[in-house]
Amino acid sequence: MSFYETFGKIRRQALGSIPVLVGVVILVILVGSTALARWIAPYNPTRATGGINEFPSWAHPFGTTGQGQDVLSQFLYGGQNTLWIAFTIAVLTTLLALIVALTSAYFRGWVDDVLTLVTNVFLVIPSLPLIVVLAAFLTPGPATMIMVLTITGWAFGARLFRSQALSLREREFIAAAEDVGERRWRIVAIELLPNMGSVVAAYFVNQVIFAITAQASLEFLGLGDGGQVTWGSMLFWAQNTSALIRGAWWTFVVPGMAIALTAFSLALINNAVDELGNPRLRADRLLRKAGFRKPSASLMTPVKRDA
Amino acid sequence: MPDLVPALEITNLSVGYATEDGIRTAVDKVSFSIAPGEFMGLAGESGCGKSTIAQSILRLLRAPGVITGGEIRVAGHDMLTANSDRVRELRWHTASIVLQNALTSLNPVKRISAQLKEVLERGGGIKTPAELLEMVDIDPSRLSAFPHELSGGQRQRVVIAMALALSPQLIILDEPTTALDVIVQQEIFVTVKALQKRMGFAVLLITHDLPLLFDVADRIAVMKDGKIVEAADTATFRKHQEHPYSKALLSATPKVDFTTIQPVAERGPVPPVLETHHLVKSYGRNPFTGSAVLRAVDDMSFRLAPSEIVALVGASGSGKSTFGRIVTGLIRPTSGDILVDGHTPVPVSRRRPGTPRAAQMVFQDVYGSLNPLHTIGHHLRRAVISAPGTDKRDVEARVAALLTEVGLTPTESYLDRRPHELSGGQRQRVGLARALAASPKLLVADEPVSMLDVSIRRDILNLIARLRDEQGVAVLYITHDVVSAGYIADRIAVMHRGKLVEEGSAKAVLKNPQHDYTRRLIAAVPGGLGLPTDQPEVALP
Repeated sequence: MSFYETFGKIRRQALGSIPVLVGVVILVILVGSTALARWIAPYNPTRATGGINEFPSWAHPFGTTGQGQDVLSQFLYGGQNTLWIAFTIAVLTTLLALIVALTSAYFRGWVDDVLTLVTNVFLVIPSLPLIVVLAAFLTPGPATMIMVLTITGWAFGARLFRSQALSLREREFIAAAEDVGERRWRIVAIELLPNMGSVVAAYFVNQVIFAITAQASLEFLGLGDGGQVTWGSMLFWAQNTSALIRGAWWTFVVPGMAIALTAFSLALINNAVDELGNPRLRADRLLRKAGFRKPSASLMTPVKRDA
Repeated sequence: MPDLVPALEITNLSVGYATEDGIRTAVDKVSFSIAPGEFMGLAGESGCGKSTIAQSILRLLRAPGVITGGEIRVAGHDMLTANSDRVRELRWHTASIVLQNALTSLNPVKRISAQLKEVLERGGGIKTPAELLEMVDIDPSRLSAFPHELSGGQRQRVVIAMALALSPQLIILDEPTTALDVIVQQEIFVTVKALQKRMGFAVLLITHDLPLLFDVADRIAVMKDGKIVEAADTATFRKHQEHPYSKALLSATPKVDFTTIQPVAERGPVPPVLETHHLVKSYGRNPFTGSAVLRAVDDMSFRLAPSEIVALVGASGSGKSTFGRIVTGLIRPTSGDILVDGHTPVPVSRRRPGTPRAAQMVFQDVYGSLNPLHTIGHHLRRAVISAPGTDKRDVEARVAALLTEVGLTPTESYLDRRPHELSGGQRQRVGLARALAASPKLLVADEPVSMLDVSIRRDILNLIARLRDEQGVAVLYITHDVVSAGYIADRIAVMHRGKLVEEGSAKAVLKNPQHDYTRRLIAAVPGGLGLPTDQPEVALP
């Protein structure tokens, strides 16, 4: 009896956060294993260490590529390259978007008009062709990748943050800070910015997803540095060596799954971030926690009777 | 015999909110019933659970609200055992609710007629949309209007018409007029009472305003901390309140004391602390004629002497808040002259730390005017640091002195708290302390008590009066409430549609109003000006 009750209680309590928990576990495993690539990778990822397109075996758990390289080692080293570039792009786009948005909110007037115009131009530029053109003209490598994706990726965030900053500006505590004579940059940095925390966090997580997928797409098209191992270049080489026709599924499923799982785990984590800025989600979780398993889809106040 | 079934019967109702530590009870085993055709008032302060009850009746309480026990019967129908479809059927047909903010109850992109039809299409209504509008005294030609084209009072009338469309036995009014002016409030209740007489529905009115219930309700229940502490007929309750809390609540309402004669301080020819000449603030511009679309402040000439409390009274939209914001420099006038302590107010965009500031603002919204992420200490320290002539070493001492002045002691216990850890009254005290940091000559208090509970309003008003007495600061008290204006102010100035229509000593204006608008304003005050209670003042626990 007590076992059953305890189990039910734990299950109910954790129900609200299980997706988030799953997301964190997946991300920690991915980031952790790729960070330790140097110590746990069995082979050099760029050297041919086995036969061509070998089926997964004890010697090569994820098989080998069309050039005889170990897929597991490529997955680990490639993940390292992919993830640091992606997080760098996410940090840079978030910062750039924040700077543009807060400058708009700080200066208002014509500065705001000009920045809004620039943001809109970047929003309507078809980004993929621009990325292809830029990547084709610049020397391939991580720096180019970061620059290209940062330039094309910040505009939506700037718009999002600007609207948030402008609506916060109308709050009375901003007027109160102005009234006591605070400097405007201080109002923006100390009073306004911290209140945007949940939006910034949610945007950042989404930007990591954007950066990983965009980066992999570019590399798959052959616009990355072909000599560097990344999840995207693994896909590029798998395609080049006709892995699909030869039935060597392990060469593209592994990097494909890695990209999908990273995006998936970040999306799950975003649930928790969402709750910070959305009291309704929190309310639903609290209801579940209190033992109301059915979500209030009908919006009818639930009735609970104590025995 | 359907008439014998109560319109609403609540037995041992408990309602709670799910929190991280389980369900917190908000309504604790409350029982009451309303007879058919009865007008019942449920009064109490914020957080007492009165709105929770109102929303539980139709199962409208949002997550994380949970009904944890008891029974609710609306005209005999059990609301708590019925399934969702059945409850939805009972809504509008047997009972309906009118919420505080009509702007959010109505769909902004649909015409009034379409929204009324939507309710009628649920079946059982015998009136047309035009008849419904006529019923609540709105010209049926407004049927094709959108909600934003109607005034706040008209919108609330439309919602009442919707609530009555299917002739329910009960309508629940949850603070329906709190956001409206007293004159509009009075007119709406005249309509509701007339309709009730004709149609015979029962009313449950939720409000924080006891004097209003004296005017309209048959029976009054007072709630505190999730329990009903007293319920009685209005006539009985008015004469004698059984429970000490009811007494305290009633005596806390500011009253105008006409018996004492107001001492008129003889002031020499001192320069005024605030002086305006033909001040105008207009918004929008007609592209063809070039004339202003809206003149929020229209040709205001006004003087305020040092250490004087002047109440600027007017309905919402009369331009009184705009005037207050011009005085503090938060917005700039379109034309006209304004001198605060002999200087034109420095606009906020050109203000620097250390710029002398003769006028400081006390804000209405006690929840929005403090940054939720910063501590009380942070708010006050910043205000002190940017005040002119502050010695950087004395900041902590000055903050402590400010907190003491507004009665927040021991001061160190408040420094590290964040706004959400304070009550509304404490927050407004922090707001006052912040405004005093720069030792201003003039406080502009924009509805400083309208969002506070009745029981603490008088304390804050008394505090403002005391600050005037002790520090000699003049106060421009902006309010829609003539009673509190008469309670605190030396002079009253009445604003109507951007213009100053009447000005004079507080009691003279209230006793003998000259302008027609002032007369209507005073006549609409629920319970009258000098509330006739024989109760001595009782301190709240």
